[in-house]
Amino acid sequence: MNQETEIPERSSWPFWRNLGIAVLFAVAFLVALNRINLDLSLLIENFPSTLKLWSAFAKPDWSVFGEGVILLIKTLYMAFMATALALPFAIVLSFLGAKNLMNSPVAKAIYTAVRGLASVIRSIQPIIWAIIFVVWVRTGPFPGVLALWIHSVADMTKLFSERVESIDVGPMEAIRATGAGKLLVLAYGVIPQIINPYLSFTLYRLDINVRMATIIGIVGGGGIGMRLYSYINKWNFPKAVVLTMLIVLMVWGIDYLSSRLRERIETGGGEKTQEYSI
Amino acid sequence: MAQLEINNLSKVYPPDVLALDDISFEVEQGEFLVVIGLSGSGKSTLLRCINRLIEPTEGSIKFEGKEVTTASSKELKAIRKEIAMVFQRFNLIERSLVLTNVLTGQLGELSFWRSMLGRFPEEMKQTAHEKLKTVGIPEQAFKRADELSGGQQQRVGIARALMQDPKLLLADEPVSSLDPATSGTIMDYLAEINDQGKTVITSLHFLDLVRKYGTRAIGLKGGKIVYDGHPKGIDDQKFKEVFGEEAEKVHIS
Repeated sequence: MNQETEIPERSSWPFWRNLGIAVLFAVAFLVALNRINLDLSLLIENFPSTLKLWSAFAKPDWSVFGEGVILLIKTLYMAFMATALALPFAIVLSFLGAKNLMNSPVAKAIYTAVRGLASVIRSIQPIIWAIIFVVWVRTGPFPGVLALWIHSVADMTKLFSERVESIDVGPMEAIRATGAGKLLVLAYGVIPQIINPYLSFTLYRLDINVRMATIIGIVGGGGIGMRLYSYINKWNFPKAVVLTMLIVLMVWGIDYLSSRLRERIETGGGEKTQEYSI
Repeated sequence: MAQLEINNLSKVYPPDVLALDDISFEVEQGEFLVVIGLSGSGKSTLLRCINRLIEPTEGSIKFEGKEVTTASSKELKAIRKEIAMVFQRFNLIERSLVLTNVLTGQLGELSFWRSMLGRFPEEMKQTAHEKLKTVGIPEQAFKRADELSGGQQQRVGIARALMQDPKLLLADEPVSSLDPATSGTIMDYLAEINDQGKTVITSLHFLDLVRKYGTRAIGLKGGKIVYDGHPKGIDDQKFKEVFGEEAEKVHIS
């Protein structure tokens, strides 16, 4: 090209903006450092008081092993119950909370209510829910299951809805064009696209619930966590250590199983995995 | 009475995009009508208004004497059963079997619960296999739809449309996602369907294909009809009217 090319002027705005953001973070860090007392000397001075805890790892009290395993199974049941009971609610709510399926004014109002409520419930941690339900129905596995259940419903509804919102509308359109009604469009145009992601999210949520189930015991939500907390309160560290090890084993095991299963689901049984060479 | 009568059809996408602007034309049974025009000229909207996948804003569409625009949901389902559709992106249920995809063409014919549970009668399955044979891929019946190539997927789309035994076939840019050689094969199937007396309305981009297959062409520009006549009548002057001054004809072999 022989003609002079006119180069548009580049705005200097991004530079000043990025510098501004960096300064903002630096100021925030310094203010926080000043407000929060980071007294590192305490870590060293008070170390001897933890010796009793560390020594417990050297001689754990295995007499609680049997009791621990039973508590572990109960905790698994809690997580399983909460997930299984949350699933049907989340499935129904996920369609009502999917923007692309909710078009009429009434439907839009339902959509807003479902998603709004889900994000409020989700933003309250399961442990806070456990406190609420412990006050409501007394301590034990029941309030624990309720706490995990309500948080799971909200969490799964959000994840499921987002999945429905990202489906390809092509198949729906094609099924509609054949003269099929709304429910058939759902059954043939939507469900085949979401069934595997739903399964995968449910397994992931089960994984989260197992981990949460061990924690909510601390506020009275039942399971192995409740017993662990009572041993810690009694300074019975040799027993607490055994329960801790059992929890670690279970969480690791479930995490491993769930991710392996999810991998299989997401790749459709491993037939669609691709190999890359760099 | 023409098979399809469209009168003063307009479509406005909120807030104020006028996709179709007061369109009127008739289509006789057995025609192979090609709609041409730039992307955004209203071709897809026009095709989708005919079976009301898109709600028209104004005007009337009569299919075999029945008014489509005011049809109740039950009447509309009955009309849609007679009008099959083929899509640019094939619109198959990717995770389902090819056979299941073909069978969905008959969903409207089954009782609600049979459809919901996917319990298709044996003779229906037999018909589906035959339709797959018609489009030359009988051996793919038990593969998952997303394992097939684009050309094969479009054949499944056509088999699904044939399953409806339609009186009218709408094909929205059926070959725009395909390579030229595969495009020819797909167009041949549409021509074959047309030879059996079924009306075909399709949108295409290549003038060569329009001339080879169409018995009539309608040119759309800005939602208005700027050409209506035999494809052979589109000379360079007309072509520029439809596609704009800068357009050049692209030939495919």
